[in-house]
Amino acid sequence: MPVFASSPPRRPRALRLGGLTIAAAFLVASCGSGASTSSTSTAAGASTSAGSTSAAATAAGCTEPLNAIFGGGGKTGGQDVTVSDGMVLALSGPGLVYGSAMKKAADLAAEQIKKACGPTFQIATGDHSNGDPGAGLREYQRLVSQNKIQMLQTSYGAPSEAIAPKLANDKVLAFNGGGASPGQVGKDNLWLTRMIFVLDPTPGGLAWLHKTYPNVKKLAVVGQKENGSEVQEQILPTLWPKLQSGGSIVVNEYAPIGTTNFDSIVAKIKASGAEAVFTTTFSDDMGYFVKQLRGSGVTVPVIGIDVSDNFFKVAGTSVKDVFAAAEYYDVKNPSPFNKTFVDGWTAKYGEAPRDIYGANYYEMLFIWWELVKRVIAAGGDPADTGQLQKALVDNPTFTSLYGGDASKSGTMTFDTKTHTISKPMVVMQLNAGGDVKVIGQIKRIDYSKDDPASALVS
Amino acid sequence: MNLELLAQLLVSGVVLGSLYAAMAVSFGLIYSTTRIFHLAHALVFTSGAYAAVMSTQWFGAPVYLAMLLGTGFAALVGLAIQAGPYAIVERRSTESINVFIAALAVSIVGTAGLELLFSATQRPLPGFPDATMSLGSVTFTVVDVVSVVLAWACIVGVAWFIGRTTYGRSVTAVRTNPTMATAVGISRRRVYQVVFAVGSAMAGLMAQFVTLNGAASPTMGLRYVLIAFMAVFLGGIGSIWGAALGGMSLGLVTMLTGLWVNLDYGTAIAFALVILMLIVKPQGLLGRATV
Repeated sequence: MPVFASSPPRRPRALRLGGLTIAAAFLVASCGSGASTSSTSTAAGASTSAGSTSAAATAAGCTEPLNAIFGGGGKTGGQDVTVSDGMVLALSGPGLVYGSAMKKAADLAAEQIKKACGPTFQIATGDHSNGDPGAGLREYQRLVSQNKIQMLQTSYGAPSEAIAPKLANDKVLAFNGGGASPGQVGKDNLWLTRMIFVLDPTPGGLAWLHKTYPNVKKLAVVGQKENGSEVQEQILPTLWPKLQSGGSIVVNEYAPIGTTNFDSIVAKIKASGAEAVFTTTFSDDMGYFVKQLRGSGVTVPVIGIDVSDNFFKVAGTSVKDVFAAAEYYDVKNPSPFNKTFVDGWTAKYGEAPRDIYGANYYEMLFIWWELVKRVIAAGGDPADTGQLQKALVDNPTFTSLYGGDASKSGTMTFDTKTHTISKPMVVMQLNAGGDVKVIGQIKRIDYSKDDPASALVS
Repeated sequence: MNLELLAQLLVSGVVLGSLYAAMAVSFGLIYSTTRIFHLAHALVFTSGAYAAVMSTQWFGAPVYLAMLLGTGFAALVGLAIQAGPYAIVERRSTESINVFIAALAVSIVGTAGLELLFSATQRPLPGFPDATMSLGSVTFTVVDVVSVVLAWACIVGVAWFIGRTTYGRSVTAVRTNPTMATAVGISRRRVYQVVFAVGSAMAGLMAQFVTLNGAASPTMGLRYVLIAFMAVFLGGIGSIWGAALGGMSLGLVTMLTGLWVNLDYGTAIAFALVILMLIVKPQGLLGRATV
């Protein structure tokens, strides 16, 4: 071992400087990596004195396009109501693309509802650091204690599952339109506005694969345990032999979220002679997987359960014969509600909305507005989340951005037992450069009872 | 045993192992000479990738020039880290833990800075040939071949530099006995600069191939640096060929365990073997036992 010169005596100044440097470094790092800081934005137009504002609005009549869909605002429309809305999102790291869309959606909705003489939403955010349940719970608790939130818009599966047990006690009514996981189903005070991630689109995706490639028997499955192992361990092994006579799953592998090297899995797929691949990887991971699969010369069809910008960026020109079964937001839907959303988003952000995340998190504030109006109409207290939830259970149907046509807006209905919702799901063909084409319609089924082929609508 | 699978995993193991070997040599060169646990090597790695990507996006640089620029930029970042926070902390305190903390802080702050500047969006590096080639049932890409060739060219180059040049012997002198090296007139500062420049350039070059196989992201470097660190200890501190052997071993084991277990466990098994090696032969595969 080398011998170093003897050490001079320790200098306390060095320790103080080192300590300050480290503290500053961690402070900057924590700001950059999105730890416990929040931004609070108030909807456009702060609440002024309730009496004069609401009287003036009612007298003038709120004539925003939204009023034609949701009715007039004013006192009965909750104009005097202020809602403290907390959002626990991915505000740093790879998930920022989702969190950013969700926040933009909520800000737009708050602004439009305010203009339509509805409630004032005060939005505060917290960062769950890309799905860290501990960070999510801490941020939620901070929003409850500091911002006294009544409404929570949460995202991702793991942090939402960590938060769920606290909601009823804290009298917070929550919605998740991003990472709807099985662990959130049927939880008190928590309502899912997205199909169950991975679980719901899988039967339909499999049925589509069988119909389109009827000669495929050997299926390879690659997924992530963090998304739930039920799909790989129960759903696919149950449904595939039912759909395809003689069908078998020849590879069934897991890769942790964040994997960038799928070479050993790709090698197994090659060696197995698999004729198609079903993957529950998503975003960058799916991009790395497809790129390495195609780079190894495997050209069999691949069907996944997610579409994202990051997938296209990573996979690049290797996106060939790749499909996705997923929930689908149609930006071109001509319904009045969707038109208001698209026009508003484009005017505010300079581009059209792109995906379900913006759509789902926009809808949530309108659900709340509707609940406020119902509670006011019943003579109740619109600040009481218990009454709001009862209003939801009594009438679980709400106006939606999905569905409808040029003359009327679509609707969505919650299942009051499972607290889940049913939304359009499709199969899409993915092409290099981000091109996506809808090529089939699918629906949710009970995989333990229903004919798997029935999951494919068209 | 499926021989086709074995052959493919061996080839994939060689590709991955070559990358790990080059990273191990780059990290080991710096660590064994300066005794700095250079965790900010992750930031150097990532900076090289981003420099290449952004030079194609901002200036329309052709991919080969972008890769060269990325490699050079990584060397500059490494030099700046050595001349800046490390040198300052070392001057003011000889407690090695302080330099380690500085390395950790630089890595965290730098990564956060990259995320603030470029967001966490994946950024690919297009334009490099990506054709697939095959030898029997085994397939590999042009990127795989070039990365293996360049990785070993760098390793051989560093070994030649250390073993056969006057400056290389200065590096060995500082590594072996810094006090005596200073006494005979070797500038420790200059030697540190050289090893940081060489090691950082190697890391920057390897980052280009990682980016070509996927994309650049702010947190891409940490995993490779931790593996490099383990490989250096597996192979034996102070030995260029030991570090290379350590890296190659980790790559091969990670891949070949795929014959029996899930990808989930491949890395864990590789590191379990590192622990076993350190118990059985603490000086590493090619290190010499000390009394």
